Amino acid sequence: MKSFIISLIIACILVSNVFGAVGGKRVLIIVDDLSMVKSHSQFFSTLEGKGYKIEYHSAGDKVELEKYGDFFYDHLILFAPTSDSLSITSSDVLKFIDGGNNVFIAASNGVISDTVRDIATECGIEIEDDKTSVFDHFNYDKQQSEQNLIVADQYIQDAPIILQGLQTPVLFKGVGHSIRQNPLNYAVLTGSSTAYSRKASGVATKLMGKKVGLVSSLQARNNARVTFAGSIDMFSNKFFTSKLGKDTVGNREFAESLLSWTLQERGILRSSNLSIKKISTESNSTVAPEILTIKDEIEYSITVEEFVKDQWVPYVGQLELEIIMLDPYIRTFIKGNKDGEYKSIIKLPDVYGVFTFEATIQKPGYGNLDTFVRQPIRPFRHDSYERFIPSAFPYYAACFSMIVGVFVFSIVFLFHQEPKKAL
Amino acid sequence: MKTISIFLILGIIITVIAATNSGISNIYSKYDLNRVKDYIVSKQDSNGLFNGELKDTYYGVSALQRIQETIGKSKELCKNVKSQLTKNSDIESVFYAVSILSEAKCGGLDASVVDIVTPLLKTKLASGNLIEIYQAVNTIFTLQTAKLNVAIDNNTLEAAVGKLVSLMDAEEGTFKLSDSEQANLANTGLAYFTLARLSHRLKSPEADKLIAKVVAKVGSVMSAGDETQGALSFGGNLATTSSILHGVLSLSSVNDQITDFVSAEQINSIGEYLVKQTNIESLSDAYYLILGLKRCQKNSINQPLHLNLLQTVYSNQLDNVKLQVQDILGADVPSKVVISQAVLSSARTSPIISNVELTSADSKTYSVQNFESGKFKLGSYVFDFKITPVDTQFGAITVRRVLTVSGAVAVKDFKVAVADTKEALGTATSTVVEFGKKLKSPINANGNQTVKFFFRIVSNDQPFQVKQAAIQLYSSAGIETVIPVAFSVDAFSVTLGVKDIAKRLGNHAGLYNADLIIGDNTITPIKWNFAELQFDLGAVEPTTPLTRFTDSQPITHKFRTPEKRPPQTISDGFTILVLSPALIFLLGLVKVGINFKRFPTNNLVAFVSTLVFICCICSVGLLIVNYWIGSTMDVTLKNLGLLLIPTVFFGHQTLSYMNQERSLLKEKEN
Repeated sequence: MKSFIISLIIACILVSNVFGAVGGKRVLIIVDDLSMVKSHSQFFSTLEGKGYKIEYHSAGDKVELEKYGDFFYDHLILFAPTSDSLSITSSDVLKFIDGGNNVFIAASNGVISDTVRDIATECGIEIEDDKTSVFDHFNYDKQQSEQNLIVADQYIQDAPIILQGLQTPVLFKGVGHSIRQNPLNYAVLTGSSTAYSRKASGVATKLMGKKVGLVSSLQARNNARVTFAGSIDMFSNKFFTSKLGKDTVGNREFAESLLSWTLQERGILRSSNLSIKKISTESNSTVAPEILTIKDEIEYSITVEEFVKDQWVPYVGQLELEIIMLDPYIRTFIKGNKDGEYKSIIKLPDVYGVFTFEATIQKPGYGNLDTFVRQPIRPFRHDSYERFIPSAFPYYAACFSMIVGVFVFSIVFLFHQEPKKAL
Repeated sequence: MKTISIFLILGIIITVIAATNSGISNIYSKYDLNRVKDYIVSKQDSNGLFNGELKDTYYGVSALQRIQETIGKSKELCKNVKSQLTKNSDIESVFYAVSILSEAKCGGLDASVVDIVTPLLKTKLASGNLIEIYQAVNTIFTLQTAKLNVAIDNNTLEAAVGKLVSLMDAEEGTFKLSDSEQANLANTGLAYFTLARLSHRLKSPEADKLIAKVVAKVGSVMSAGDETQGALSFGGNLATTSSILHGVLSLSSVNDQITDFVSAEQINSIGEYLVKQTNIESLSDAYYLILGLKRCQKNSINQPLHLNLLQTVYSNQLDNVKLQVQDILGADVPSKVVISQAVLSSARTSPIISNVELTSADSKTYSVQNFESGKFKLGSYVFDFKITPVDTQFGAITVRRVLTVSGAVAVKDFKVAVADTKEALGTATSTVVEFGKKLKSPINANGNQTVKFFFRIVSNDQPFQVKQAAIQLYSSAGIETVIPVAFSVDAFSVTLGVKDIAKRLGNHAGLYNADLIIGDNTITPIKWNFAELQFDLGAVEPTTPLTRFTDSQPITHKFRTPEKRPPQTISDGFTILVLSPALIFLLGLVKVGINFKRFPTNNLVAFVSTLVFICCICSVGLLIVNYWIGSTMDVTLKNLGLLLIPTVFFGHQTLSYMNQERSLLKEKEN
């Protein structure tokens, strides 16, 4: 009975690992004012429906993100753009991100606190000045007179996993930003060519066209995700239920997709079953055959999985494998099979040393997968070379004739015929 | 002294500015109110109760009653509530049941009910907590409104006043539920309302004196609210905010001093908070929302007003200004409306019109008689309105609104010039492009040249400054940039080196389409494809990759090619050559001859030594062969070293024996 219970516990742990969530479920939501919990209730309810444990705090509340290196939350939603009384500092949030946790920030076209600005800057996002709005005189909600209530549909193209193919335009009213040219930064939603950023005084800033960032994200190297939206209103119940003519705007779908991606509900990769098997060798040596030797033919295999809908499923794509000793000696691309297995037969270089076998997958919108293993590659032993080289027969003949000669000479020296004396 | 005076004046000015009442930004629309109503109705069960609970039924019935909506299933409702009243004897159920029966006009509140509840009410007034006193007091008044005689004397009620006031936090003015608990804002509204009702009934100087203590702390309570974007709330929730508003306004009807602590602006800000509450998630919220809205609509301190402009964007000409003055629920409020001043948004110091009164024939829609529409051309105008309600109880409000006159503009004198230097642009020939048309052939420019775009924007032949003027360059490969164009005097122009443009385009040379973008709130925006530009950047490498991750190329390792070997025949020839001296050696051996009879057989020691010596020489040969086949130098040398010991020793023994034999043989022969 006892062993049955133990087995059951182990089985539960295994199952929870297989279907476990990536990134955890503890969410801290900080709002400028608790009334925002109501005005944005539909946005927050998407989290509640997925089993996240949410803790709401107003900006003035004393909140700690970590203590002695342990984080109290897995995700932070910062909907307090204006408040300067935030108890958490930008360095706390950056530490939180460095710990692999995710952050979702929204700002507005009013005054933006230094904390929010600092966090955004550290994440490669430069927010426009206070009281600056994005305008688009061509694409705005024609039912409203304000031309800063823009209709945006310039979604990110190279990372469809973020918005899952959303096409419906969204309403946006807020501040613009620019992002650094960096493969880790994603311009999830930008203004159209006719959009521009304008100060309250009516003066246009230099930020124009598709460079006007509306919503941007950072996929950090440690897989943490940070999303910055220039409009807090775009996640409000009011915007969720707004209409453009007869059509409903896509704010709800946009927010759901963006939030779920930011909270690592998809687009996370992991690897397992890495193996390097020797298939054939040119070495004749029988000493330590498991050690890799130059010119060995090996089979490199690894399994890659992707986190989709709360479970790990095989990831089918392309993997880049590099065999590196300071510089890559071999770089090859391996296609995965339907089980997410990536196999390739490779002939090792004829250079010996300690090599790194580095497998990487770089796909926009996906987490970084960088799996490496170090293996020494040895030169041939002296007995590994071919023994009988026909071209070297003269040398062999010289050596062996010498050996035989010495032996024969020794015998002759001992048992030679004494010269007969002349009588 | 002078400095103090300046600061004092500045302080007064700032206070006046801060205290300016600008009304509420919107009304609580009929659409939203209907949604609230629908929500309440949807919660009514078939037995007439709301959510099957007395508490929710109270909220539902009271809310519907306040917006004068008919309460459905009233028969079932009344029957069920009466039965609950007879079943439950706790103060909460009694309060809710009595209130529902009264609000729903069920009847059935008679002397028998009074007889049942009076002892309970007395107990709670004497020893209940704040909420229980609130419920008891309201139950008493509800019964009295139904013309029933509740046998509770004024002394008991005065004692209740004393008890309530004793629950107030002396510093903050908020109320505790009981002596042992912390004071909070949620209890405060209930306490205010209860005290107001008691004061109204008792009209006792003793009670009023106690209530004056509470009123003196109202200012402190009001300052505990959170104001965000002009909306004032308490405790971050609708129930507390509405309850405090209700309580404060109730107190104001029994104590005039309250206006010293509660300003018209604060009521306005609470109104601003209430109109934003469009998402109702509980019957409690619905009740408190309607309670708050109704109290804002009608009270003695301030009536939040909204100025509703019937039109804010005018096409080509501002023919008149039409507006309505409404209260928080959209009812018209007769007022005197004056345009204090109207200015162009880009030139605010020179008023276009001032002190113009708007009139209304029906006290609903106001407009200006003989409006000088000619003064308002294309642009945005800031209007300051002063609204003074006819009801002199309330003060005037000042509202600022922006009205826009929109229309079409045209682009004139559009020129593009390309020259080798900036200075040469003045003398270079410009390409003139007619507005609306496109150049047939591309404009060529190389990396060392400079390009200038020049144009004017006019409205009714007058220069017009737009907010957005830019040139968009885009290629078929998806590379694009937008270059802002600056306004100066009466024209727009931008001069840029092709190198700078190329930098924006990530040094991708080629053919680009060029569009002029003109935008402003007041005009019909323009996007005009006027030309194509061909940039030749020479040997400059593109800096920005078109893809996020640079495409890595496969790397294959180049193996060292094995050295060339000579043909086999040559090797064989050399082998024979190498072996040929062995023939000479063999011939020499034949000549020397072998005499195995010299092998020592008669001497055991010599026999063994010779045999071992020969074996050792064989072993050395075999050891070398073994080394060649597979052994290591280390092992070979060790073994060779070991073998040399017996080889030398036995060799020496053998040779010495042979030498002795030879000497003996010589002696014999001699």
